[in-house]
Parts: sequence; structure tokens; C-alpha cells
Amino acid sequence: VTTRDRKGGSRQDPDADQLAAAWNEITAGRRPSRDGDHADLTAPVELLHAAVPDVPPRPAFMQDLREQLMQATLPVDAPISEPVRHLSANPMVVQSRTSMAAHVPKSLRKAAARWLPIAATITLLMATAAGAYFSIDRPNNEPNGTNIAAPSAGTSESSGSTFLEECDVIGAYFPCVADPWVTEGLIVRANLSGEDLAVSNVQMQGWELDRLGHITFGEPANPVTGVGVDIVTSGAYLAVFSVPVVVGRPLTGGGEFEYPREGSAVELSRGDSVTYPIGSKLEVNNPLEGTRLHFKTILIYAGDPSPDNLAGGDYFAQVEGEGSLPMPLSDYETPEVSIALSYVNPNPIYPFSPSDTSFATHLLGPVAPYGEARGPGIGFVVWAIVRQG
Amino acid sequence: MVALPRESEAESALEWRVDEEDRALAERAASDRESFGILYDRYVRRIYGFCYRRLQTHEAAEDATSQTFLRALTALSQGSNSSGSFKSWLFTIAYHVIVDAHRLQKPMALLDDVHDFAETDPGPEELALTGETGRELYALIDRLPRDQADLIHLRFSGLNDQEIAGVLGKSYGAVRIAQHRAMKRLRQMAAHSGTKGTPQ
Repeated sequence: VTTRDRKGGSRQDPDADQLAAAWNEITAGRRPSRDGDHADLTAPVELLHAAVPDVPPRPAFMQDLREQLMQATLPVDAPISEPVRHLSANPMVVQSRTSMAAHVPKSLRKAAARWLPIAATITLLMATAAGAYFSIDRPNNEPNGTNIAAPSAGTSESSGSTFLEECDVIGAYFPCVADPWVTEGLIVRANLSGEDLAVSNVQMQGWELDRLGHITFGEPANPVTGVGVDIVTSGAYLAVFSVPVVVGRPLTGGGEFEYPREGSAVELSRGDSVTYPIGSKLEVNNPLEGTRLHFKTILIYAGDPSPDNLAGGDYFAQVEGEGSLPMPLSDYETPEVSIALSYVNPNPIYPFSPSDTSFATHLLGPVAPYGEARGPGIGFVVWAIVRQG
Repeated sequence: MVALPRESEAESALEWRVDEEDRALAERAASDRESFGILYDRYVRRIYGFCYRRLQTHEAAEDATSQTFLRALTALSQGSNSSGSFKSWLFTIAYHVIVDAHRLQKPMALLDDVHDFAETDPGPEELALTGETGRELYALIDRLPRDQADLIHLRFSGLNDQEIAGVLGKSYGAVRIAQHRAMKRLRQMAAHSGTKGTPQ
């Protein structure tokens, strides 16, 4: 191995070479030679390998997964009408994702909670790879089980050969996705009071709710006004609001947004959003026994937006970022403004460069360092998008 | 250099044949689901073991294993595959599934104590006094920086340094250097914590 020292010169590291060669032998199930002066390097490696616990998967799990894989209705045989487009790092390309439709098998929609990640993955893959083939007209009242994947689903699609080639350069498949677009919440200004529109501070909070957990939102102790967007990143979300809200389901065939009445249960799954006036959220529940709920709350606010001021119950919440709109919501000239969430884990080929355009404004977001995963508060980026309605 | 035993040539040839067979199966998997089933049977335990060691619960490991194979199947069905080793490509998917899973977990505790260690070799006296055992060393792996822990766990999954380089998107040399540092650091931590046990 030749490495560069701090002065820019190169040096050999025979110990590293020796260890690597010996470890390759051990990995292959062979015993490395103990000749020479390097037994002290290899002995701990052998000790380590001997200590690795044998943790086999459950036979039932292996069998179930095998059957799922053998029978899954993946787009294996589906014609692909055109190359799947990568969700661009540029938020101006937001319309590229709305043209695709998806269909999730009912059996998967009703699967046990532990299969939700699989269902989400299948949904995403089918939607992105075979949108035209699977396009369907869905009755308006049919529950919609489609999701756009949160970052953990990590899409892999790309727009063309150049991008694929560049992916090959870095030797991996999924890191090629520079910034998967998670979803957006739609703020309809006409539905908000003047007080709720006179806000420009932005805060992103990360919330978690245990299995079958419940959060009650009461009257805030300290005044707070504005609008909130909740976006589910994992699990299932069931909430009740005291006023009409806007629900975003990005990959539906029949339209992006729904407008449930006040008091109705709002059910969201991974990648879905709900936009509401602050103070109108009454409760949030995690209806699943097997999956913890994770969601982001993006607040455009004035006053005290702290979780403790808003909610009670056994939950975990943390502030993950602060920012501001370039102007209060009341000053926007368009009837609608979207608050969108993306995930940015840039690779060397596509560095993240936030910029304001005539369509979108980067509000806040710690960008995830490439190749590292430091936690749920890193990597999410919030944008404001001007919509013409 | 390490003197390789003679049988290693035959075993290397066997590994090469397995790689070739994997590649052929992966090519057929686009139209023949049973070919994918063979690959699944071949790798599910190793993928699961890797996921379990990195995520530390059976539930998370099962979810990650499921996602790994679903992504692999879908990618193969779309004609995507690495031009290199299938095993390395599959572990690359698993690695990124795990990275994604970590993102949605609470941040891990900062490893301040790890960073307190100087990048120096433990001296012979220190090592002789320490006499670390495998189990105690193993318990310290998760206190390493995540990339070094990933590397060691990929070793436990049977990957050689070239395959690990492919999974982590690093150069071959970088992997060798990183694993050397990881082992040094493990031994430093063992010495620091006063681990006693098996003599070398």
C-alpha cells in the first residue's frame, strides 16, 4: 500500500499490506502463516473472527421472504416506456415525479407491519420503473396505499447512460441518488387567517412515537401561530385536526393533494404529508404494533413552537434546524406555497449547492456528509416552492 | 508477505468459479426468478448476519435483509448489475440499506473516548500486559468510527479487501490502511480499558 504523507510524499505501509493479506486468508477460512514478524498483527484478527456470534435468521423469515421474492409483482416483465428519470437535485424539476402512477398489491397493503418497508420499496420501484404500464384510474374514495419513499428507501434510478456511468465510477449503486425528493406540503393561503400568514420563521422538528403511541396536542401554553407541515419518514401516522387540512400523496394517479374535512382521521404513510394551521392538530397516533413512527414537522411560525409547548404524551421530539422564509407568507403573490422536504447526501459528482430560484428557495437543512450516516437530523433540506395554483 | 498454503490456489479457483456462477445467475435473474432464488439461498444468511451485526435487532435485520434482496431483484430485473463481483454488489446494497436505517435511528453517542486515543501503536509491554481476548475485542468494535466498524463487519461476512473496497466506494489501498488503523485502535482501546485474558 502506498499512501501520501502530510508533506505530499508517498510511503509504503508493509504492516497494512501484511495484515490485509493475512486477513484475506482468514476471511477465506484459511489459517494465515505465522512465519515472520507479523503474528502479532494477525493473532487479534483470528481472535476476533472466532468471537463473531453466529446469528442465523429465523427459518420462517427466510422462507417467507423467499416466497415474497419469488412471487413479488415487481416490474420484472413490465415494459418500460421511457427511461426513468432521476429526481433531480434541482427543485425546479419537481414536476417530473408527478407524472408517474403506482399500484400496490392489496395483499401487500394489508400485510403485517413488519412488511411495510417492503411494501414501500415495491411501491416506489413499481412507480418509478413502470409508471405508464401500471397507470390506473383510481376511484376517488379508494384508500390510497402509495408512497414516495423517504430517504431510507433510497431510489436508484437515473436519467441516462452518463449518470449510470458516473455511478459505476464510484463503485456503488445507491449512492448515485444525490437528493431524493421526499414530498411536499401544500399551503393554501386562502385557508389561513391573517395571523397565521404573518409568519416567516421556519423550524424543522424530528418526532418519534413508539408503537401504538399517542400524542395529544392541547392549547399551547405560550402563544404560537402559523402553519405546520408533517411529513412521515417511517411508519404509519394517524391524526385528527379541528379544521380542514391538505394531505399530500405524491405518487397517486388521481392527483397530488386531498382535502379531508375537519375531524376526520388523516392517515399517512411514509412519504405522505399533511399541512395544517398550528393549533389545529388535536392528536397523533401510531396505529402499528411493530413499527415506530418517525415524522418531520416543519413549522412556519411566530411565537413559541417548541414541542413541549404544543404537545403532551410519551414521544420524542427534537429541533433539527432553524431557518426563515425570505418574506412572510402573507407577502407571497401566489395563492399557494409548497414546503418541500428533500434529502441530500451529496456525492463527489453532484455536490449540493443550495440556491434560490424563481421557483424555489432553500430554507434550512444540514446536508449529510457523503458516505456517512449521523442520524435523523442530518441531510434533510427544506425548500419553499412558489406555486401558481 | 504471508506465505500462502498450497491449497489456496485451488480454493481461489473455486472462489472464481463461484463468482462466475453468481454472475451467470444474476444475468438470468432478469427473466428467471428461480435463478435469483439460488442467489438468495446462497447469500441470505450472510446478508442477514451483516445486517444483524450492524443494526443489532432481529427485527431491523429482517427488514434490512428484505429490502436488500428486493432492491437487488428489482435492479437485476431492470438490467442493472455491477460488472464486478455479485457478492460485492449485493453487500453494497445491504450496506446502503443499513446506512439508511441508521439515518432514521437516533444519533449514536459520540465516541469521545475513542477520539482521545492517539494514533500510535501500543508498545510491546502494553500489549503483553493487555492480552486481549477475542470476545472483548469484538465488544469494542462498535466503539470504532462507523466506517472502520463497517469494514470489520464486512470482513466477518467473508469479503476480502478488494470486495470491501467496492462496497464502501473506497480504493483498495484505503481499505487496507483503514483496517490496519482499525485493528490498532481496537487494541489501544483494549489496552485503555485494561482488558485481560488470552495471552497471544
